[in-house]
Amino acid sequence: MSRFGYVQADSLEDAVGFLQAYREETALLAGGTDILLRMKSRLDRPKYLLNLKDVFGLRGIKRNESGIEIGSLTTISDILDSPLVAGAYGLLKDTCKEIASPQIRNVGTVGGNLCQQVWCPYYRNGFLCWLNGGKICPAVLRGGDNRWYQSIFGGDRCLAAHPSDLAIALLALDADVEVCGPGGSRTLKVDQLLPGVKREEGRIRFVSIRGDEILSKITIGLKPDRFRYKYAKFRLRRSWDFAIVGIAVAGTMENGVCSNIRIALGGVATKPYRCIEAEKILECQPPESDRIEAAAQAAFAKARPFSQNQFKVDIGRALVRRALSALRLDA
Amino acid sequence: MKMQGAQISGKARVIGLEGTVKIELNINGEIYPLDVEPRWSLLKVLRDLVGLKGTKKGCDQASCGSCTVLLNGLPIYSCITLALDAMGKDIITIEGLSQGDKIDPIQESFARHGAAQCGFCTPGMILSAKALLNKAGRPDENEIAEALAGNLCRCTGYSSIIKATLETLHRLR
Amino acid sequence: MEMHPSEKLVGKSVTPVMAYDKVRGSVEYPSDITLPDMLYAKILRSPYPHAKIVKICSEEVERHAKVKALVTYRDVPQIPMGQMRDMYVLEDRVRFIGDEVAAVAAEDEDSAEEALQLFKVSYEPLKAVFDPEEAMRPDAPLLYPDGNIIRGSSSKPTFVLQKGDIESGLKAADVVLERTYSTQFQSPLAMEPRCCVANWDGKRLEVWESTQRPSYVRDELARVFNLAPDNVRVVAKVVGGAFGGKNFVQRYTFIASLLSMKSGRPVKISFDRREELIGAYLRYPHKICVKGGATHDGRVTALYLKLVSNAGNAVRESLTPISIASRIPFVLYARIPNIKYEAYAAYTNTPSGGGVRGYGGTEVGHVLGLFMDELAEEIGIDPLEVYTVNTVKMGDELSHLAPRATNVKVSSVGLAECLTKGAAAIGWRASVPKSVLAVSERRGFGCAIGLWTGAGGSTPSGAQVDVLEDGSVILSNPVVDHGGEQQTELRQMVGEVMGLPMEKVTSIWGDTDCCPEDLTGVVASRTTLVVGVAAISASQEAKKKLLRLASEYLQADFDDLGIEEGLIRVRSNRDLKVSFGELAKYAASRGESITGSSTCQPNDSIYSFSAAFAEVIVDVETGLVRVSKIVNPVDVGRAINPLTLEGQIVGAALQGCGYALTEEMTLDKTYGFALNQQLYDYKSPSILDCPEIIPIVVESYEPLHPFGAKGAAEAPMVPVAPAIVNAIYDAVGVRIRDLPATPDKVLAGLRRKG
Repeated sequence: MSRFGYVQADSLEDAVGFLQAYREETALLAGGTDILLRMKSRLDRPKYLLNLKDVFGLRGIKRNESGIEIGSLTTISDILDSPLVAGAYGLLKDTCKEIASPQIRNVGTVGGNLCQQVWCPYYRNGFLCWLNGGKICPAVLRGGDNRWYQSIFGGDRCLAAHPSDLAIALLALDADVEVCGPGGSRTLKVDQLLPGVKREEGRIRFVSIRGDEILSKITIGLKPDRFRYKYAKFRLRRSWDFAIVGIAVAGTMENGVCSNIRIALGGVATKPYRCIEAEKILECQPPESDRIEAAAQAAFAKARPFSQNQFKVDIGRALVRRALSALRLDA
Repeated sequence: MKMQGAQISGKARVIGLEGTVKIELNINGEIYPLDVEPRWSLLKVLRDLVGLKGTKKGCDQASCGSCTVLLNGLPIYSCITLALDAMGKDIITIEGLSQGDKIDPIQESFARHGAAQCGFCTPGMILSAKALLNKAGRPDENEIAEALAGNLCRCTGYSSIIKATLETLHRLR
Repeated sequence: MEMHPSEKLVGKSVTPVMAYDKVRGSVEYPSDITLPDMLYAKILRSPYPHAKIVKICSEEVERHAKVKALVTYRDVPQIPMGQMRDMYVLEDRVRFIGDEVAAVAAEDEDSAEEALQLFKVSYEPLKAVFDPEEAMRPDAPLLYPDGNIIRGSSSKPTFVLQKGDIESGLKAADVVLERTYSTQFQSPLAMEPRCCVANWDGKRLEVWESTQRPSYVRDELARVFNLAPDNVRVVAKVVGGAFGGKNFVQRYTFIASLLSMKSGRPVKISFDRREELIGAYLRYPHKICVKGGATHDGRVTALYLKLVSNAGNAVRESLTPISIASRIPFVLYARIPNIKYEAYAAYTNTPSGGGVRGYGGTEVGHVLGLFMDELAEEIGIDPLEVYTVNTVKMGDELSHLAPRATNVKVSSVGLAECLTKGAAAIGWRASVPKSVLAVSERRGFGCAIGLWTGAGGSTPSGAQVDVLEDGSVILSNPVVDHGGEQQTELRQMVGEVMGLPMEKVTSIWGDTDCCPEDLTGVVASRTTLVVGVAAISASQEAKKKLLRLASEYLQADFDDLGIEEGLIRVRSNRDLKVSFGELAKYAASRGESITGSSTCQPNDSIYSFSAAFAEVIVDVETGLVRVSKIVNPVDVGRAINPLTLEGQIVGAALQGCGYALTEEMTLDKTYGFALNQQLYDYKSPSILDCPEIIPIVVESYEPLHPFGAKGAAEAPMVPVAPAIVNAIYDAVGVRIRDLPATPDKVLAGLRRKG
């Protein structure tokens, strides 16, 4: 790992102030489970590493009359241990249980989980690809391996699937993400936060956060009493592994009918993927098996898998089917 | 914990851009004054500066658990913990579980159940088990496995490890 | 053979002798060694799969303030190393992405890492080849002047062994089947990335290394550096796992030694996990074509195997797995009258293949485990019948040793008991109530058999026993502890012979300066028998000396003496006694020592047999295979220490699960890039992926071991993966013929079925 200066900030203001001056040379340090691995591989060599863990007010969970607020430096374990994350927000607990491993959950943060970069082995091992300064994605060449980490819904230049488990849960919960910068704070939805990787000002950006901004908190509004949810993560091993396909489904089940249904998939697209067509099939409808089946098919109607990841479509359909059926059973 | 350092912008402070930073780490109940570079992991500092070699470097990639230590009672990977970030916290390494000839009941169980074969994953595994046993309650086999899910073992097939942890649990409760 | 009904130590689950050190974290692994003034070295590795090194400019490296030495191909002895002599310490040629290019030693690891970036290397890229079949073509780019097919050509295999006549055997068959299978690169994945520390003091070279073969490393260092073997010392006491992966000489030992010679200081090279995954060697991957025929009663009349194996960029371990894998057909299935086994090993520009737990037997055992299951189905009989009819029995001659040795019979066979006990434990073909499955889940059962050496290797092992003045006995032996805790069972054997409790038996091991020789190393499941017999014979010799001395000392008849608990008593007058310690002092006063030493040869007639019965649950919608249970009966001859033995079986079985379902080192075929270089990408089972594993110890009482034991570290693994893959077929009707059986393959198979 290259040398760096460790930056201490006590307040968000101080942190943002530092970024204003040194955004090009600074990386953010929350739990460290992503940035430190990238620095060990020499993928990133920031001059400054800005520690967010001592910034006042970023870690914590609050319930109030408008819902729940989770600071971006709240750890995955904090969520699992908190009695406040209950009721509708239990989806977050189900999701957090399956993230990485206990040791990583003890330090990994909500903000870090959302902002983590892709884990495609071509990128992470420094092999020349579009992210690393090359021109193409080697995974989808004839000799490449695109089984585990690539999108099945195409992509722009980088075809690696977005890995965040929390992103799909928060998408299903219609969460708001607050980002603070020099001009104050702004609020984004998860799909705005994670539009897929882009190259901006010569830098690769995995999140729509400017260089002088910091993700500060997540807010989820109140959900009706009959709010139901389901999370599932398909992977080869039951620890550490990223989702080959992940699903978070949420909606209100009332009078035998779903409303405000949201179906979000992970591991299948370059950003967390909302299955809008599938949602339409179920919205304001009773979730009968043939409707669920139609939704499972519709969710993947636009799939364009690569040479080796067609199987993710099959797994995806199964997960959609099961999650929606579970919702129906919970009703 | 706050450190003195050159102030650059607003009130954010940069430390360790060159040379080392003077810190104190609380390891197994003792305070160690150390000079560290910011890039040094807690794992490196434990092994190379403090000389506590029981914590192992199995991958340096947060993927094996051999480097597990307890930080304020929580199991963490010391390979992805900066030494600076361990300041002001209680660090327990495997060496901290024994005092002279006396060893912790979990260590005794592991020994007698053959739960250490090559022994390389053992310190990390024991600390993860210890952290679980320190919590109240009576975890069953599944909960033990969940707690040890971040510790990879290649030798034992895990069965003796679960047996050892269950036996310790029964003895303690 | 002696049986000891009143055995005190043998057969007992004694707490492993290193256990307390291991649970305290106080064991010193090679990576824990720090010597005064030690330097840290790192290796520069090739970004090209195949290239000539045109120029290495190291000026900036030399200018780095903390750099104390560096080496390039210009600095190395021109003496080739490796079993095939296909490597030099460094060369002006690189043959895979990750190949060693140069190395630098600096005051600290960070500086060494920085200094690596300062090398300026110009490469001339060459055409590369990544597939062994392509490498065998006449127009393939050559890695070595003698061609890509090792010791062979496209018409002459690297190794061939046959008996009888395949064609006539096939003609006599009622059913003939031909199938092609493939197995993958599997990493031994020891938890400890290897490390060596080399210290040259001007006259002697001392090396601490994560190795299973200190004697061999010592000899190779002496040969390559032109030193007298006495001036080289290699130490390996406890190593953090090996599984065959730390079983030969690697360049880094020589690089560290050279850097120490150049700098005059000790030099440490610690592999990082990436280097450990791709920079040593992985289990040989093979493409195996099998053609076999059988009669309606399940008698196999002919069996033909043709292997094409990927040796990788150099033979960094040995070629032996390619040849001795033939023991699966020739020994396990000895009753098949016509067998031909031919293997082509080809160099490619990929990480090296080599021998890993089961050493060829795992791969070929896997493939034959699948083939026999398919053959049984084709005939319409239970695979257990195929296994019963065609496998070796007591009294059968081992024809694979001809013409070198004839009329050699297999020494002990416990396979039948493995099959009956295993079948009973899993409920084979029994209708017993089972857990409820989800709508998309299917349950399946599969079985397979296996075998591996119980006293393998090619050179003898030595042991020495000394009685000390404190009354204890010390066993000096060459066995490195890389997880088998063999010091424990060796001490049990010595203690049993000497009539001493465990506390009075110690051992020293793993140091070529003071321990007996063993060029084969701690491999091939040989320790329990080969070193065990040497230790027992040494103990018996020491015991005889004790008794002779005692007879003098006590003025009693030799035959009137008995040993118990460290005392020698006169049977006819029990008040007359003398302790071991007193005798040792007595001997010392006469300028003598009470010592015994012995060697034992490995033995090609000793095999450990195994079976595996697997229960799996397959999700037909997602292709996910969950193993719910593995029953793993193993014929170990005799369990010296049931606790450590069962630990070996369970550990081996889980490695078999990984081999079957999740583990692989995938290669990008455009560029030759090994993809699973981060440990989270190499899918070794976590505790949550572990099925219920039921080890069953079968004891056939191996006559060549005084306590009936033979080696058991590898045999358990061999049948596990094929049992799982056969169970997948039983569950969903899909034959997975390429390992690992990942969900994509299961789903593809289901789709093809329709």
